[in-house]
Amino acid sequence: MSDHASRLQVFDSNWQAVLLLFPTLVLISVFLYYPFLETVQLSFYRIRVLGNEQWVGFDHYLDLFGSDTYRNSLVVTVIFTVATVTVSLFFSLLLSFLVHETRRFTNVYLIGLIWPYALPLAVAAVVLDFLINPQLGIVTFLLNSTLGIEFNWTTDGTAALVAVILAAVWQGLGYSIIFMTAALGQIPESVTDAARLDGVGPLGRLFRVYVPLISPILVFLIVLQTIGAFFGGFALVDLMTGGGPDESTNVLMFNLYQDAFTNSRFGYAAAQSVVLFVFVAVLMYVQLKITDRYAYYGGV
Amino acid sequence: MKVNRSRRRVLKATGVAATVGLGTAGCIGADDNGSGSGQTVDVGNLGTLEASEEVEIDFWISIGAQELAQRIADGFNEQSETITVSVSEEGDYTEVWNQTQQSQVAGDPPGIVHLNAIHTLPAWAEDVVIPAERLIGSEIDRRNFVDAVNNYYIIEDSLLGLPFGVSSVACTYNRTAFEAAGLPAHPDDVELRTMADWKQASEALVSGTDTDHGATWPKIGWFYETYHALLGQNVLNNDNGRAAPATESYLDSQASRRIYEWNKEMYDAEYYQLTQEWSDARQAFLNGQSAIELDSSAALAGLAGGAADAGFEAGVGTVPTDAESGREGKIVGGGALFVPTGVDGPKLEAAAEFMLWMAQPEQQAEWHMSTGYYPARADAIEVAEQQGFYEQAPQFRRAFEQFTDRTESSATAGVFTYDHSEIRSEITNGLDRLYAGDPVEDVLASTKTSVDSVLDRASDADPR
Repeated sequence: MSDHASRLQVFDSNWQAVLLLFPTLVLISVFLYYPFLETVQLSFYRIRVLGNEQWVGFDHYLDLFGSDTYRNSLVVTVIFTVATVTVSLFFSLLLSFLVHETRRFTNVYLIGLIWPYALPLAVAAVVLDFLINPQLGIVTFLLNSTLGIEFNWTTDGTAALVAVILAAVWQGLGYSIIFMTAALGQIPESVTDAARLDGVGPLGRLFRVYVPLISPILVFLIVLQTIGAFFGGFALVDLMTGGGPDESTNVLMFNLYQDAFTNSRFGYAAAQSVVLFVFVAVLMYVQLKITDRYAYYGGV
Repeated sequence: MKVNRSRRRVLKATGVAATVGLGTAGCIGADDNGSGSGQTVDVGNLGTLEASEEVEIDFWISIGAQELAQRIADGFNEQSETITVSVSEEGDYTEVWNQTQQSQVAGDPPGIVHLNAIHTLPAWAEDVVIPAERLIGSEIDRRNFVDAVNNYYIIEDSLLGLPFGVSSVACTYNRTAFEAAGLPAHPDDVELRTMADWKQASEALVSGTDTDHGATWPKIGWFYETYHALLGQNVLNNDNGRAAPATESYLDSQASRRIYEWNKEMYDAEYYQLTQEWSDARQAFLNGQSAIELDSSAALAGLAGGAADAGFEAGVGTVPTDAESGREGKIVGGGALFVPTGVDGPKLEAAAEFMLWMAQPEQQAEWHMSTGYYPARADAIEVAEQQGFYEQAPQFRRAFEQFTDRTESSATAGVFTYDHSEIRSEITNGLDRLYAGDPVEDVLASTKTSVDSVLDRASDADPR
C-alpha cells in the first residue's frame, strides 16, 4: 500500500466503516427505503379501506395522466414552485446584499430578516392569513382603501395562489438569507476594493461580481428551494385555502393527501407519490446539470 | 388477472382474530357484501353489563366532548364489575375512520369507534365494522328510534351502527337585530321559512341595522344536500343511491336550479356572507356581521351562549325552502357508534354491552342535553322533558321537532354512496365558480359532470 493510499485510509478495516454506517443505514432503510418500496407496491393496488387490496396494475398511473384534477395540480405546483423559488431567491439576494453593505446594526437587520423562518409554517400561514384576510386583514384593507385594489383570494383563484406564494416567500426568505449572507461574508475585501476602484456600482457589484462568486451556494439554494416548494407547500395550502377556490391552489402534495386520507384512495395516492418522486428526481438532475455549467467552484 | 388481498386475509395473517373467517376469496364477493359474515359474533347474554372476564376497551370519539363521553362511560363503568371503558378523542371523523383501519391492520382495533354517517356504506360493505344489528339487534326495539334515524342507518333491514351524535342543519338568528329591523322576532312568529323570506329579512336587516349581511353558512356540501331534501329532490339517482349504487346526479334538476339561483341572488346582493369553515360562520354571526346563521344543530348550545356573551339573544329559525314546492324535510348529519371487525372474545362482549347501554334513553338524553345533538330515540326526549330541560332551552326542542317533522322518502333519507366526501368537494368547487361569477347553468352543468365522474368510480367500488 502506498503512502498516499494509507493517508486516505481512515479505518483499519472495512468492517469498522460498515459498523459505523450501520445505524444510519438501518434508520434510512426503515424510514425511507422500506416505506418507498411499500408505496411503490401500494400504487399497483386499489385500496378503499386498508387491508382490502385489489391488484390493478398500472391503472392508477393511467388514471393519473387522464385526470383533469391531477393535471391542474401539476400546473398549480409548477407555477407555485417557479414563483416561490424565483421571487424568494431574488429578494433574499437583494436583502442579503443590503445587510452585507451595512456597517452598523448588521446583526439587528439579520435577525429581523431571519425571524419569519423561525416561525413554524403553520403559524406563518395563520399570521399571514390574518394580515391579508379579505374581510379582516390590515394589508387588504390598506390596499383597498388607498389603491382601490380588492384582494379577495377566498373567491378569486389567481389571488389565492398569489396569497399562498406570498406566504411561502415570506416564510422562506430567512433560510436563503442565512446562506447568502454567509457566502457574501466570505468574499475577500480585495475583490470588493478592486470592483470599487474599477468604478463598479453597487448593483453591478452584486450581479456581476458577487453572484458569480457565490454561485455554488445559489445552486444549492435553487435545488433545496425547488424540492421544498414541491413537497412543502402543504401546510400553507391546508391552512390558508384548503386547495381552493375551485382547486386553484391544489398543489400536488395537498391533492395527494386529500386522495389518501380524505377520499380513502390509498393506492391512487401512492401512485401520485411515486410520480412526484420521479418528477422531482428528474428535475433535480436536469437542474444540477444546467446550473453546474454556470456555477463557479474555483474557490471563494 | 385481478388479485385480491382482502381485509380478512390481512387480519388472519396478523393473527388478530381467531374468529375471523379464513376464506381466501375476495372479501367483496357477492355473498359477502357487508353482512359482517367474516366474523362470528358471540356476545353471550346481553344486558348484564358484564363480560365473561375482566376487560378494558377503548372508545374512540370523533367530535370532541371527550370529558362528557367519559363521564357517561364512567356511569357504565361503575355499574359493571368486569368492563372498563376508556374514552379518547382521536381527531375528526376522517381521522378516526383512517385510524380505525390502521388499528385493524396492526391487529389492535379499539372496542368502539365513532364514525361519520358518510363512512357508513364503505364501513359496512367492506367489513370494517360488525353491523350493530348482529351485536345488539335482539335487545333493541327499532320502533323506538326516530324514523329519520332509522331511515339512514337501516339497510336491508339491518341496523348498521348505533346512531350517536345525530344532527341536522339548523338555523339560528339574532333576535335583537330582527327587533331592531322591525321584523317579527319571536321564534313562533319569525318569518324565515322560505327562500323569499330569507331574502326579505336580509334586506331589512342590512338596510335597517348595523348588520353587514343578512345570512351566512359555511361553504360545505351538507347544506346543499339539505336544501335538495327540503325540496323533495334526490341528489343522486337510484333513490339517492339507496336502491342501488348511484350512477348519476340530479344537479341539472329544477330544484338545483332554484337553490343555486337563490344562493347567487343572495350573494350578489351581499345578503349572503360567504364563509369557508364552521368557525368562520359562527364568528360572523356572533360578531354581528350576519344576523342569520345556518349551522349544525350540535352548535345550538354554543351559539346561544356565545350570543348571550356578545350581548344579544339568539332564536331558532327555519332552514329555507321554496314555498311553491313544499317542505319535505332535512337529512341526517353526525355519526354513529360501530364495533370494528377484529374485536372478539370478552372485548366484543364488552363493546356490545356498552353499545346497548348507550342506546338507552337516559344516556341518549344526557348526550342530547349536554351537546345539542339529537337523541336517536324519541323516548329520550321524554327523559329530557321530565328533567325540565326544554323550559330552559326551548331552542333544542324546536330544532328537534323541525328535524322529525318530515316526510320519509329517499330525498330526506339522504345520499348513500361511496366517495361521498368527494361529491361534497365537487359541490363546493362548483360554489367557488358560482361566487367567482360563473352563470348558474354553467356551474350546475360542470358540477354535475364532476359529480357524475366521481359516481362512475364510486359505483364500481360499491359491492351492492
